[in-house]
Amino acid sequence: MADSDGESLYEGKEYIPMDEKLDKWADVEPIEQYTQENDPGVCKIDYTPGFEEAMRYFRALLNSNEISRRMLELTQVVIKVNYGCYTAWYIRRKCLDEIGTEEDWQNEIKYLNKIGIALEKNYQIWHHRRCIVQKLNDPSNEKQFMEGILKSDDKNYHAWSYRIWFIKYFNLFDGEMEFIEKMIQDNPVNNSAWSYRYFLVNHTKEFGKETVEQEIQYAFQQIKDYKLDNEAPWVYIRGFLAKTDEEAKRSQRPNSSAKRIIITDFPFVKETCLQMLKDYEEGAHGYRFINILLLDYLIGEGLKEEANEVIDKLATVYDPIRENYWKYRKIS
Amino acid sequence: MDVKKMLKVLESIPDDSFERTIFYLSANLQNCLKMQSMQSYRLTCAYFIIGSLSLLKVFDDQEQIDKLPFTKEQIIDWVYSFQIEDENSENDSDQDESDSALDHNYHGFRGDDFYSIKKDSKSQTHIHQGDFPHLANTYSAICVLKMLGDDLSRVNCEQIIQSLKYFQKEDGRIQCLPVDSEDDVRFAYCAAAIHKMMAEKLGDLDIPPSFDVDKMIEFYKNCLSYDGGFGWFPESESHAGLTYCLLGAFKCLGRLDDLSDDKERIIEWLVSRQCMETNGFQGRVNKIPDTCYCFWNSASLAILDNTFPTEFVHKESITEFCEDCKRFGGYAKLVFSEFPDIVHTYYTLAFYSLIEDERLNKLDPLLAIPQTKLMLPT
Repeated sequence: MADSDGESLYEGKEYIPMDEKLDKWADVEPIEQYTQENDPGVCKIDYTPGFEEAMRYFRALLNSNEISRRMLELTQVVIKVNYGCYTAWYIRRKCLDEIGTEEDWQNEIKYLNKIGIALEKNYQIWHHRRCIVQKLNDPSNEKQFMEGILKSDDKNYHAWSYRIWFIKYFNLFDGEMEFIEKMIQDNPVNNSAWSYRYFLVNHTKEFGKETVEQEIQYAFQQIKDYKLDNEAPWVYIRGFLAKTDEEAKRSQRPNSSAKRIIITDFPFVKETCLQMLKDYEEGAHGYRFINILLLDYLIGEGLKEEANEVIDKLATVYDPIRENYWKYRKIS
Repeated sequence: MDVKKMLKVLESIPDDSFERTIFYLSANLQNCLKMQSMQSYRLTCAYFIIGSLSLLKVFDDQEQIDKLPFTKEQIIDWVYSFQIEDENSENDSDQDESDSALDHNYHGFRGDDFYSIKKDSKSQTHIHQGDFPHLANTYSAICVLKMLGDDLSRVNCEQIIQSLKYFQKEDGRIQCLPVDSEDDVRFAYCAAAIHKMMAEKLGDLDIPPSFDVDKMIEFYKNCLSYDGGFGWFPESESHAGLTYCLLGAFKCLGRLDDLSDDKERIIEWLVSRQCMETNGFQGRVNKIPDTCYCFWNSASLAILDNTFPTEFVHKESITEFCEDCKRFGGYAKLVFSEFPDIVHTYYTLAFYSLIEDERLNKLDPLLAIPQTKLMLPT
């Protein structure tokens, strides 16, 4: 039954349910996939022999509606050869739900930790992890697991979304602000980290002028310390600010996760922009960002002519690849 | 054909037209090579390949069709073989009745063909357990059929519309299977687009979706992030692909107006994803440009206003970026990628179509398939 193919799924010992424990599988009649004679085989995919064998057994157990320990083991083999197989992930959870012992659930997390890095961009595994951690009601391992994942890719979208989920679900906000300050310091252009900071501020600080001012100051400092051409802190600053009272009011409705305050409540924003326009050279990368924030402020003040002047400069000098967009923004 | 042989043939084809691209796609239509982990998404693979060929006007020309490894009819029948039918209802007495009744509420297209087993010497049946329709595959199947000029007469339109409610979770979001499964914004788009295409086929655009639209809109509206883009879940980072899915879902359901207060911020976020120094489009703030985001951003703009892509996209620099990613006739993800893939090939061509490349058929940015309805007799 085993094959000597280098790509076989029988390399790692723990993935050998059929081969090593023949007794367990003796009563199973593997089922071939039925392919009609006239099947054209569009988008045919080349499978390894190991893959086909796993699928034959999986087919057999699915067909007999079996939910068992050996099905649990088999799904692991199927996932190994075809991690996108959403059916295998689903059946695996069904096995755990119906016959899983406390130990099985604990082992599941160990299993996910082990394959987690290799499958860090796989959608199914992240959903699976969420289900398991929820069921175990134990997030104690999660921050540590995250560390490895973020070390491999500090912008991993799955990982950040997952972190938002478990921090919120288990209310683990303690220490998160320190964590994110370090992340931003390590890589100030990491917008995932900035976005996460926004989430933290939303949940741990009282929304109001004071908080917003602190956050804007922090972001300005990051820009000055690191580089002007770092869009992340710029969009972060603008995310707290509305250009009109009406916009501010609307953004502050209950349930809103992006509350904003009218920009003219923060005169230091304008002063800082004007100062930065002087401090940096006109040709500096990122000079456009100062102008874009200043533009927001001028619109907030209702200074139409000054605003249009900035727009003209953006269209022609600072941000010419968006010339038509800036023309569209012209205030009549 | 193995890879080496394929490359050899490719090199003999001139690179100044899309001839190489068609060869590359045609080879993939025959064999997606070693994409074992895509086994559960073969219909989605077909969507990218057929979509590309369709944009390249291959199906408008009988001579070109004849060169493909399959006839249109073969591909159409193959797609239908993935549709979940009520095959057990007639004479399969072994089935637990309540169980089968439950499962038969789930209509659509499965992504795997591994459920198909031999029933007797002449016919096939399908394994029952785990055989669920998958929203991305259902969306892909319907798109492929439409692109090949099929009239959808064999699609169980009413049942599919009714099934969509089983994909909705209590909080309003949509998951990919009718049982516990991944539930990001992509599937909200699929559900909305499937509903729209089914309603169109039935000739009644007023058919209400079977899922709770208000609840769904309420949930996804909160995915709008502080910077004007949309994320995967409420409070996650803005992402151009997910922004497309969300705008598309709202538009398919006729609810784009629910976002009108934030429309200008969304436009600015999308337009700002064009990278000034490196050319190309990025999917998130400060990420490197990637060909598929040329499509996600431009098509999102097109959903908001049809004239936006030609107006706001810097054609020259973005096209230069895409051409820098061209490999062996196909398009790769990044400037330093070694090989092309069918996903990035499709989205690059779709982007070209949006900025009115005359060599291509026009794209419908909302359904992400060519506009041309090829209702040729089959």
